[in-house]
Amino acid sequence: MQVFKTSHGRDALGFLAMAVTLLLIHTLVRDHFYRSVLLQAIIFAVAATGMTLLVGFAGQISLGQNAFMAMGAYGFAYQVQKFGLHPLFALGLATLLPTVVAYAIARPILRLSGHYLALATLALGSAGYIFASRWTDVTGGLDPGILDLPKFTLVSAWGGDQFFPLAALCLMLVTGLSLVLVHSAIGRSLHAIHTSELVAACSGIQVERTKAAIFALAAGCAGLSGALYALFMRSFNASSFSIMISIELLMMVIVGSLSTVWGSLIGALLVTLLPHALEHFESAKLFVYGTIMTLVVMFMPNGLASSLYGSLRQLVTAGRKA
Amino acid sequence: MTYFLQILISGLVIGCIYGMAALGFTIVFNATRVINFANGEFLMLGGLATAAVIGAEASGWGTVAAVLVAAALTTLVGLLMQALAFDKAKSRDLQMLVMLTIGITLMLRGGASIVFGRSVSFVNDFGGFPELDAGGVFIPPQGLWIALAMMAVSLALWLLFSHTTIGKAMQAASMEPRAAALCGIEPRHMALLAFAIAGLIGGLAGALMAPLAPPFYENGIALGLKGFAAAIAGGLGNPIGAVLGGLLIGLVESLSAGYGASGYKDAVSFLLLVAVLIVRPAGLLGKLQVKRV
Repeated sequence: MQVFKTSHGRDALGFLAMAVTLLLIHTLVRDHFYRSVLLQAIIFAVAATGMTLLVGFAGQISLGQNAFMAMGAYGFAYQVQKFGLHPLFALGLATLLPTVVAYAIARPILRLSGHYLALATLALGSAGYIFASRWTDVTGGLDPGILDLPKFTLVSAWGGDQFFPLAALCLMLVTGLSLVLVHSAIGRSLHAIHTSELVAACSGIQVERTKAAIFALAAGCAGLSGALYALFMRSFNASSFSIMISIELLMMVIVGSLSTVWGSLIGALLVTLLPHALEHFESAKLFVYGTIMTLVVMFMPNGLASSLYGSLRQLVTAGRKA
Repeated sequence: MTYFLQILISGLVIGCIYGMAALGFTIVFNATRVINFANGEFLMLGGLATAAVIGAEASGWGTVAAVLVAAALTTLVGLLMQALAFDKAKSRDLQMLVMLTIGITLMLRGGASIVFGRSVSFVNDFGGFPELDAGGVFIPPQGLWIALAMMAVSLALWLLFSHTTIGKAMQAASMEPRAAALCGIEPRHMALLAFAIAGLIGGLAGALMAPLAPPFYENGIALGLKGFAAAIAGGLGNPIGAVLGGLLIGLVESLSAGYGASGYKDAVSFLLLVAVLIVRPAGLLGKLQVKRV
């Protein structure tokens, strides 16, 4: 059991646990409402995982993820409705599109840092929303939007809900890829870049290229998440891709963790569940998010769940020593 | 031609508003090196407070009272923001400060939606000026108020920074905080003052634009982005640049709305912001070395 004490081993164990949990949810949760809430959490977790890599590991903030999600969703819908492509193929292309776009704009954008980067990406995200709501030939705008995408069935003979396994597989793919990345040389480069770009460059890390790659990866995750969202909702409009989505993704990272991939899963689950769990939450949502974000940043700079877990561990070790 | 002039005038009017928003960014940046994401929320709050005080019809002294209440509210919000959040923040890490400003923005936005409601409010023109008609070009009375306010704010800031001890202390603290502290200037007080001034100007701008653009709790982020675009276009940290940048953004927006696709006018200013940030981070007026405050 020694292997599970290393961070590699713990992450492998976590991945296994995640797979089992997803399988259990798929087989045990029959209630339509809970299923759809959990699906939403899974779909957002895909984008949040990319966001964690970008914000938590590379230290680059982006408030433009809603634009990449929109690209994925509309790209997917366009391929399915206008070209009649197979949904799986369309899903792949819809992920690729924002990845390529993000890689193309990454270098100039990521020359900015801190507030400048945040505001520039916020401007891009806002512009993306304007295009989503005005470019009606492709997006359908706010009304009617995209209508009646086909229900996802891979093999009609199997029956049952085939979308949940697809979404779960996508999440496992993204999480697995992120875990491998974090433990690789690239993960260590990201850490170095976060600490100091100058030192990273002096140690032979290609700072620009690494940052661009991670920005593209995060955009790809957002695109995949958007395409899954389109397939899940089947009818949606531009209001699903307002700047609030980017802020909610940032919330998921902050509520979860800035230093592990797992935090984004917890964050996505909490941020998706909260509005359903609390009545009248909708009217106070923004205020609560703002308060949480402000307090977490002021007092728990590692992220909420991560900091709580840290203090818990400290308590346990202190308990053992006593 | 009259169409073109009309567009120019409405661009300049809205440009004055963006200029005032940009001044808020500039003053806070100079004092604390923080780009206050929440600056647009001052304008949003100012507008909503004005609407809440005067309702849709009152005029005369009612309007004056409403503008004063709005400006006082945002000044207070600015003070609290610095005193309770920025001053107390544990981490001086830049990324954390960015998230802190985003958190405060959300709090103000959410707070406004709870206090003032989630519906769009409407405010009448302040009146007081006749409707001027210069050869077919209509000069809106509210635009005159806005232009006057812009001039008054600029004059007041100029007097503050060049003719008063406290203004000079603010400049000193922004140039060299440690040396200023050695001369008995407390940089934290200067930061507090900067936030109060930014709040005051933002609230005033928000109140004045209320009759032109119906106040709504979601308006803050877009207004903040445009104010920031103006501050960047004029070279961040430069108050004269901020005003000119505001006019420029207003004109660009008005022209793109008048001759291009009106639905995309916001997108035009946002993409312009990104382009300027990337291509000329020192601002369009970067070469023109105006004395920095």
